[in-house]
Amino acid sequence: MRSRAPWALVGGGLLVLAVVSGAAAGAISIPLGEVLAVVFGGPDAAADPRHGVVVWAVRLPRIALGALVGAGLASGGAALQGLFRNPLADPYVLGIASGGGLGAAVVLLMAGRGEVPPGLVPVGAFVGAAGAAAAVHELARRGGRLPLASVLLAGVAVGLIGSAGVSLVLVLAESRAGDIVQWLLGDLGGHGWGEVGQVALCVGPALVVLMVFARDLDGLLLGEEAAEGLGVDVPRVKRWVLGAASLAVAGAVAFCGLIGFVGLIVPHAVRLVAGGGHRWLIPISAVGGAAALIAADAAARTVLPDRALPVGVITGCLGGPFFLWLLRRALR
Amino acid sequence: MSLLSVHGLAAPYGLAPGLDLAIARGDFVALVGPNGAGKSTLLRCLAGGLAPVAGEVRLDGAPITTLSRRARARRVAVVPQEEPRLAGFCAREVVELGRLPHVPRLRGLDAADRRAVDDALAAAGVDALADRDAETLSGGEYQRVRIARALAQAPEVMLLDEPEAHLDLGYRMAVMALLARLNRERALTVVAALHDLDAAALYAERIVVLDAGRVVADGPPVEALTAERVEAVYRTPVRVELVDGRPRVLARRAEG
Repeated sequence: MRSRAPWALVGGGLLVLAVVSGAAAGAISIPLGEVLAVVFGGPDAAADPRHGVVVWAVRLPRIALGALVGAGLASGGAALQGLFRNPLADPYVLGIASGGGLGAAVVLLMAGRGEVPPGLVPVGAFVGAAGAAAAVHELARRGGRLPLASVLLAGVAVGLIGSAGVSLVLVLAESRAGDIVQWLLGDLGGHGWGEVGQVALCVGPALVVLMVFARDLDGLLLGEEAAEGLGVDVPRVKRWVLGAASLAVAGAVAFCGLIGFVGLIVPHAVRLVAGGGHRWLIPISAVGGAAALIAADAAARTVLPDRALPVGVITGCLGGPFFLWLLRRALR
Repeated sequence: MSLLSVHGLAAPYGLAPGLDLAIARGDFVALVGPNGAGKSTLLRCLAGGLAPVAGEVRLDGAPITTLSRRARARRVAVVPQEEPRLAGFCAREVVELGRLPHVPRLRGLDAADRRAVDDALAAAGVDALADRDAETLSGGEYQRVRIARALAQAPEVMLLDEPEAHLDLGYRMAVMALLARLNRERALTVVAALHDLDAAALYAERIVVLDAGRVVADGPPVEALTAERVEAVYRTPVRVELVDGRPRVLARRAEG
């Protein structure tokens, strides 16, 4: 028997470590004791009130956002790899993130110079992401099969359409172009607890749905016909899982832009230690994705002495070569 | 009454209209015939996975379409021809998937499920492989793990599509002997599409010969596999010899 509980604990431990070090690291370094005091006691618990404000209003929302986005991307990636029976599936590779990005960009464009009503950006991102997910699935499907090449090509095509749409929005939305570019780079900074709440309302329900269908995803790994033979309602599972993965991705993309490859690397690492069964793979990937993105963001803020990098740059630099390595393995 | 029966069936992908077939409880039936004769299509109809365009399939007299997917999966197990190896699954976890139709959503396997899995692993002779990574098993070992998964469904009928394909002689015979034993000891009804006529003749008690979507023969091996019929169906010269009362089909050299 495979023992997975220890790995869930390891993931949880990494997450705690990432949260604490993420809150301590940054342009001004804050003692660990003060960080912990604020985490448990609120902004007024810090010895130095400025430290209290920095940790509570700047760093903790950023960390919470990182945790939610990382959890959404990694669990969504794990579910998509199962649904597409494809080790290379990931919200970005499949064009779902681009679709979500286009949806969010259109909302920003329509809002013009004014304030965007809360909740509207995630809704736009969800519409775009779900549309892209459904399109890729339908375009890639050959009978009951999803060949590797057609999944990747459909993902590339849908992704390109999404980015072309975003470029169009950029040209049209001169007044907001700066905001949109900053957002496109993939960044966790500059958001408050309101945005954290909106992302949580996407990622939380998505995780619940993915867990409900975890066992069906195991059956689906055998192929659609075999899954039907095991009593799995394949079309229903696909609708729910694609919808939930799109919702998780929409939550990630809505405020933090395009952060690639978290949904690819984390599930693969988890699969190696905790096995391929989705009842464990999805929750451990969520915890691992949260820890990984917070750590990547801490690295992004500290790797250059004079400025912070967008976290998407870090994940892209690590994830691109990993994707190529997986592709070589899959084509062998 | 027959356990599984087909009445006036017509299906897409090459089943001629009006196919009738009755499979009794405890039968061990081999479906044979050339490529494209309709073996896989008939199996898919029997499994309820492919809707016929005419006629119907009945399980215990009731149309199979009236059963829910899960209820069907508790009675009819399918071993498709090909399936991907599951990454990150050990053999036991592959077999546990057979409990899917029995386990309610959001609940783990209970003691009865674990007993069924252990029993299936042992019955298929793969209990020693239970903790091996599925990707490291040989083709023959994995085939038996898949049969164990179907057994874990606790079905009345097992439908297999070319379970002997791509296996060497030893594994081919081992898989057939396993199916024959399950059929005999557990009164499991087995319907297998087979390419290997000798394997079919050695182990099945009843052979159904399909050609161009029609049943052209149905009976014990010695009646179904005559030289004339095999030549007519496969369009190549053969000789059929009886060894221990079972026919062996020997191909003869043909002009190309």
